This record gives sequence, C-alpha cells and structure tokens, in this order.
Amino acid sequence: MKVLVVDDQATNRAILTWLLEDDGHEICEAQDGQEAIDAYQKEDVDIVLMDVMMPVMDGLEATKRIKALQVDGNYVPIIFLTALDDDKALSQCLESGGDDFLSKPYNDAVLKAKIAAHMRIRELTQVITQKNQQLIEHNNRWQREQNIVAHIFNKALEHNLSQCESLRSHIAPASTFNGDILLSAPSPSGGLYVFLGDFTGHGLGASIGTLPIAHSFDQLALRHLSVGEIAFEFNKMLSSMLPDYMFCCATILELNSLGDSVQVWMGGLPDAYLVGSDGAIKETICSRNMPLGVEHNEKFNKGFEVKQLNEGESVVFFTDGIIEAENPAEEFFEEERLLKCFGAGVSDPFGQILVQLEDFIQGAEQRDDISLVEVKSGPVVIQTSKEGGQELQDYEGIYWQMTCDLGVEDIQRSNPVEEVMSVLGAQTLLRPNKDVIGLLLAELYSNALEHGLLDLSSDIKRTEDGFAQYYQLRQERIEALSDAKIQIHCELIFDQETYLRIRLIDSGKGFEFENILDSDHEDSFGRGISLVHKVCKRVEYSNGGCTVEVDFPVSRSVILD
Amino acid sequence: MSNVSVNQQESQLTVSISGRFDFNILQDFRDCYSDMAGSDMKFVVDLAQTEYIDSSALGMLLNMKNHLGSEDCAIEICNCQPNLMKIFTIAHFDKKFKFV
Repeated sequence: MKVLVVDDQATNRAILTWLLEDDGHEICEAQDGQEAIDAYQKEDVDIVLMDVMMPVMDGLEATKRIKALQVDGNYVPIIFLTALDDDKALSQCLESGGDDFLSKPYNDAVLKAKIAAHMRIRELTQVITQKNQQLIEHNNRWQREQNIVAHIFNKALEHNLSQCESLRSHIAPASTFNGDILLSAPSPSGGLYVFLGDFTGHGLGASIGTLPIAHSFDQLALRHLSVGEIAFEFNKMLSSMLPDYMFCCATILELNSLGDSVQVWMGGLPDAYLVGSDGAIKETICSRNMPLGVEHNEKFNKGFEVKQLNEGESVVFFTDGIIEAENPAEEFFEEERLLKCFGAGVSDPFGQILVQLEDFIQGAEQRDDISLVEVKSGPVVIQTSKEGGQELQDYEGIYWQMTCDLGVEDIQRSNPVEEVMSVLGAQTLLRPNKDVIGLLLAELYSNALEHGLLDLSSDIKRTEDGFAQYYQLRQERIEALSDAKIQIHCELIFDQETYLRIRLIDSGKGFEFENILDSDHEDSFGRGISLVHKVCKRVEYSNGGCTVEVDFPVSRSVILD
Repeated sequence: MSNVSVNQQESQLTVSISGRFDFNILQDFRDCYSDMAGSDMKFVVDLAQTEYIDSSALGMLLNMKNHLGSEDCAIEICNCQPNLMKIFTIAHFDKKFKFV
C-alpha cells in the first residue's frame, strides 16, 4: 500500500512514517494541501492521511480537490488526523469529502484498524469497478450482436409477407425477437398459404427456429403441398433440429383462389374461429394435432379439415399470447373476454379484439408474443412487390437436354417419371406447366412400358374386372422382365416457338400406333394417349411404335423470382 | 403414400383419396363402391388431399360411374385442386362429372 501522509509538522510525518513502514506500507509525504494534490497526481496513492490546519492550503480544501480528481470509480479513502475535536470541525471534515477522522492524540492500533478497514472498501470498490467495466463491454457486444441478428431476422421474415387483401394481422413481440412467426405465400393455383407459429418461450431462443421455417415455406408453397404435407415437412425439420423441450405450436391454412374454401391444419394453438358475415362465431375449429417438432414422423397425421367460406365470412386465429395477456392486476385476458368480441352485430371482431385487448392491458408489461390473424373470404389477389417477381416477355433460357437410360432394375424398382419430373419441374420455363408435363410424361411412359415392353393390350380393359386384371398382369410382367430398356430424352428447343421435346424409345416389339382412339368415348381406356395429342403440337411414332417423339409448346413469358 | 378412405353418412358416401390417385389404389378404390350398384346413394369423391392423377385415375372414375349404373346417378367430385382440374378439363371430364 502506498500511504500519502499530509502534515506541516515534520515530527508528525516522521512518526506516522515510522509506524506505517513497520506494517509494510510505502510512504510518501506532503507538507501542505497543495503538495498533497501534486503528490496525489504524481504517485499511485492508495490512502491519504490528512492534517486539517496547514499553511498554503488547508486539509479541507485539499480533500475537496483530491476527491474531485477521483473519477471512474477510483476510490481513494482520505482519513483526517486532527487536533480539533469539536463536533462542528469533525463534521466539516466529512462534508469536505473525507471518509473518516481520528482525533489526535490517536491510538496506534485504532489508526491501523481504520486504515485496514478503508483498504478493504477500496479493494471492494476496485472489484466492482472492474465488474462494471466488463458488464458494459458485454452489454455493448450483446447490443451489437442483437442488431446484426435482428437485421437478419427482419430480412428473412419480411420477404415472406406478401401484400394481400385476404390477410390481416396484428403482431406484437414481447422483445426484439419474436417467437411467433407469421408467413404467407401465394399457392401455385392462385390461392394463399398462411402459417402462424408460436415457438416455446420468447426472445432470441424462441425465434431461432423461425428462420428455417421461413426459409423453406416458399419452397413448400411452390410445390403446392396440402397444409397437412407442409405440417409434416416442418415437423420433420423441427424434430431433428430443436432440443426436446422446444417445439412450435402452429396453424397452417390454405385459402383457395376463389376464396370460398380453406384447408386448415392445427397443432397446439388455441381454437380458431370461423366467423359469419354477421360477426358471430359460426364454428370453432380445434387443434387436433401435437405441436410441430414433437411427434415422430411415422406417427404424424397429415389429415386436415376443409371449411367452406361464404361471402363476408372469415377465419380468425391467434397465439396464446392474447389469452394470457396480463393487466397490471396480473389477471389474464382469457378466452371469455375474447369471445365477447364476437357476436351478431359486431361489424369487425378482429378490430374489436385489438381494442378490448389494449383497454385491458393498460400498458402492463407484455410477457409473451401476441399474434392475431384474419383470413377473409373472397378471391385472392396478391400484389407482388416490385423487387419480387419480374415478368419477362422473352425469356432466353439456355439450351439443355437430358437423357435417362432405364434398365430392368430401374423399371421394377420405382416410377422413374417422378424423378425426371423433379428435374424438369425446377426449370423456369417449365414450372408453370409442370402438372401437365408430368401427366404427359407419365402417359408416354405407361405406353412405352405397358404396350411396348409388357405387350399388354388395352382390349383387356373393356370390362371393369378386365381393368383390374390389366393392372394385375402389368405387375406380374414387370416382375418377370429380364431384358428391357426405356430411354427418356428431353430437350428444350428454341425455334420460332419454344418446345419441350420428349422422346421415349423402348426395346419392345412395337405396337399398332395407328389406332388412336377418340377420348370422348365412354370406355375407361385409351384416354392417356389422346390426352397426349391434346396438349402437344406434334406427336410422332416411328420405329414400329418403339419410338415416340412429342413437342410440347412452352411460353417464353415467365415470372422471374 | 396413397390412401383411400370411405365415410358413409345417411344417404351420402364420400371416398377421399390422399396422395397419388393412380392404378396403385385400384383395389381399395373399387372396394369402396363395389356393393353399392343400384342404390340411390349420393356418391362424392373428395380430392382435397389428392396430389396427382393420371389417365388410369380417369379410367377408374369412369368405371365407378359405369358400375353404379344409371346415367343420372350422382357422382360429385369435390375439392379438386386447380392443377388437377386442368387435367380433368383437358380430358373433357368436366362434362362427365359434377365438380363442386
């Protein structure tokens, strides 16, 4: 310890120096207040012993100035040693900023004890100052990281919110990060998908799961899956990713393009309400499933409900943050208050809920994320934002071709058309028609397989039992195949018009391809190939029926992402 | 991944098909209506969960219609998604069945 001894009497300084050096302290001396200030600034002093009455500058003034120099939590105790012993003088010592006093003549042991006590306070102060500094640094870093993560979340989630009249929502996170997530995306058939999820807890931990959900939602929407299939995909993803104690309650809904029917899948969120045009609840839709991320894939139920929506009707759903919203008296909003917001004659139950909720909460701190969503009946109109889709009149794709040679094992093992379609369906020019192209490919493949390789005659299908027999034979002959090949070749042709050219070559004996049947007859067969004729510009058989080549016209006007 | 389920309520029989509607579900599909010929039941085929159809599905629907007999027997196809509707329309099925 370095002790600054301030006294105008050399004897007093000498006694103190002698006394304290014995205890292992380092001593520096000053004769008056001014010297004390100079010494304080120059030396790294731990404690000051201060006389009161001195020439040049007295101890009270010096104390004031030294204390003024003590910033940033550097606490250096000042103990007055004074011959004065009246109350007024002593209180002046403390008022000037002194930390303690001792009247002369002092007792050595008491002085040493006081010094030790003040040193303990100084050490404690140093520890606290250090911890404070760490806390400030930590907080700054956390703030910086929060900003970065918030930016990423905002970008990831805003992308999914398309402007759509059919959808109305109120989202109020309890902290910077929302554990609730609302996503919407157009369905390929012109309808609207809506996903509302509530991850366990709130804040950053809860919202981390929203990122992969948001990321894959658009992709799943593009595949035009049912709400049950989307739930299955999310469940698969979340159960492999989240810790056991975390899951996501969710409601997934698809409004068809006419806006007169909704598919609903619910897992763990509070009841949804089908609201009549009069504002009263027409039907309550309950959750029938476990939240996402809980159930094993094989047990997962992809079932969902389909509800008809008449004009003026809507579906209102929400996360439990509303029911559990608290007022200053720590009461819950509860279902009962919520239900009162509906009823015949209420023109806007959604708005009514928001008004009642705000009225109830009275500014109390929000404990959980709150989300409220309404999906309204009526044709779906989605305004794509300017940065989103860009319509291109004359899309110039690259030329490509693809050939698959299928052997016996490929034919026996699976339906290769699906795999070819997963490649073709991803092409920008083909995506809008992938359902029809899928059908086209499936029919051409069936023909090559059934008539080319398996030598099955459609005549068998004339009776209903024959129809079944046909597929029975098909299966048997596929299993018995020993040497067979089907080649599927696809290429994009840019001529005056654009075509998808598909060619299938089978290794069979060929068949009588001249007898193309009219599709409007009432027989249950012969339909496939006439479908092919209807959608293709050119259908050409050659090689005795073993080769078929078709051109499917493709529009070059596409929407680019 | 295909699945056929039947639900009979009073005078209506609903057959729901999830996943792919093709010859792989032929037997299950036939079993749904095979002993109903001549009944005055209303038949509904629910395609809400159907993802895919091909020409064999069209054939199966026609078989169902023929099996159940009279021309005016009511078979309704409901919840048909627009991508499948495209295919029904190409095959002129929109004239042969009642889509609701």
